[in-house]
Amino acid sequence: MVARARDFACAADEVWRLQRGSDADCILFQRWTNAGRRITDPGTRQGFWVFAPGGEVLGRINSRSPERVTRMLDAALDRWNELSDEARSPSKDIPAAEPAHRWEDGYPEGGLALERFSRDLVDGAPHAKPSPRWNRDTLWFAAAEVRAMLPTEATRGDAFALELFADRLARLALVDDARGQTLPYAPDEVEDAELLARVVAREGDRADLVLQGRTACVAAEEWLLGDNSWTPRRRFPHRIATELCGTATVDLAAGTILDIELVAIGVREGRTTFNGRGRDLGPSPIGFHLAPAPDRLAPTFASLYGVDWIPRPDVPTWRDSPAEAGLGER
Amino acid sequence: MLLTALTLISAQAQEPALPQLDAGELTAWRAHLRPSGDDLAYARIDWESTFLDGLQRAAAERKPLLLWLMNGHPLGCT
Repeated sequence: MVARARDFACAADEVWRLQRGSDADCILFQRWTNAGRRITDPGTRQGFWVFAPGGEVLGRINSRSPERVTRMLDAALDRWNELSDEARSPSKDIPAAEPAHRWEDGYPEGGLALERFSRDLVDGAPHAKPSPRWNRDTLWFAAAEVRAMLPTEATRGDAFALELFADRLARLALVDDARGQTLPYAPDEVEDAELLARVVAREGDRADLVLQGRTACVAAEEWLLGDNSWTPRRRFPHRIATELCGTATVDLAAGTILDIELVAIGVREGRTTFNGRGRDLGPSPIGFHLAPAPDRLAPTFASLYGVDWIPRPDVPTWRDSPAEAGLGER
Repeated sequence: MLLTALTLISAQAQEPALPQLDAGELTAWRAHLRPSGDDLAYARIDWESTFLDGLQRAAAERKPLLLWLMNGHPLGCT
């Protein structure tokens, strides 16, 4: 499939925003894939799509099978090769302007963007062959939040708590998504969240830290995070508890984290609707690794950070249309 | 009811034994938890990270657009 991909311009994107959003690129996607109409049904449009730049759908499949996807790509390429030059021309409806909202707009310049991997743990970890079940997410902290977490002065041996860090880890990052997207935890579902930093070396404004902590969350019977696109139709019991350790290098004068690495291992139990646990309710071990992110992808739960530095869309994507949100037809 | 069900689950299933976590093993944990080359085969494809960027590239390169969509960004959490 990697070789086939060279015949295409390749892009990846999050399906929910495209199939329910109201920006020009979202409406274009919906009209191309839904016979010219906005999408209002709940069915997912996830999968692999092939479009001619003019909007013709040349192929589509929702499959994890490389063989089936490759067959679709071959058929789509055959259809592309039969198109006239005119039919291959780009649509005049392709927006010239950037979308009014993407969650990536909230990227914390000067702050901290972490890449977080989750993985089921096997017997013998970390020295055994890893489980193939893993997932990726990101975790953000604004520059002002990082500054507020760090002391302006500290000497070797001093220790301080990173409370916001621990809370955001517990609620939004150290969650059971190794097999599929899961749900975050509300503040009232956090039983424990602690991350302590101890200064082990100082040089000028730089301080080297050792990090240690723990998290524990238990899902409440009711959904506590309001009416939004994450609101589950059905609640299942689930919990997770972790121990953390890691290292960081900070600039105390600037109030910045120059480098950081965190490992968390723990136990998960229960399930959520889409996290792939099915009947595997555990308890079973799970691990996480966090380090600076190489890209600007938004965190899965960006809409639930509850902070004003992550801009929100004009029209929430869980509403059927701008009209329903009182913004008139678009 | 939810907490009762969870308590019941916990009562019936033993907590797994966890390996000791210490700073001396960070390198081993990093290698174990982060994806390997095989895990990241999909990343060998040069993906634009938005539908719009993909459209603009397809138009510029006169190629069909292959668009990969998932609940959660495919290059992130799915």
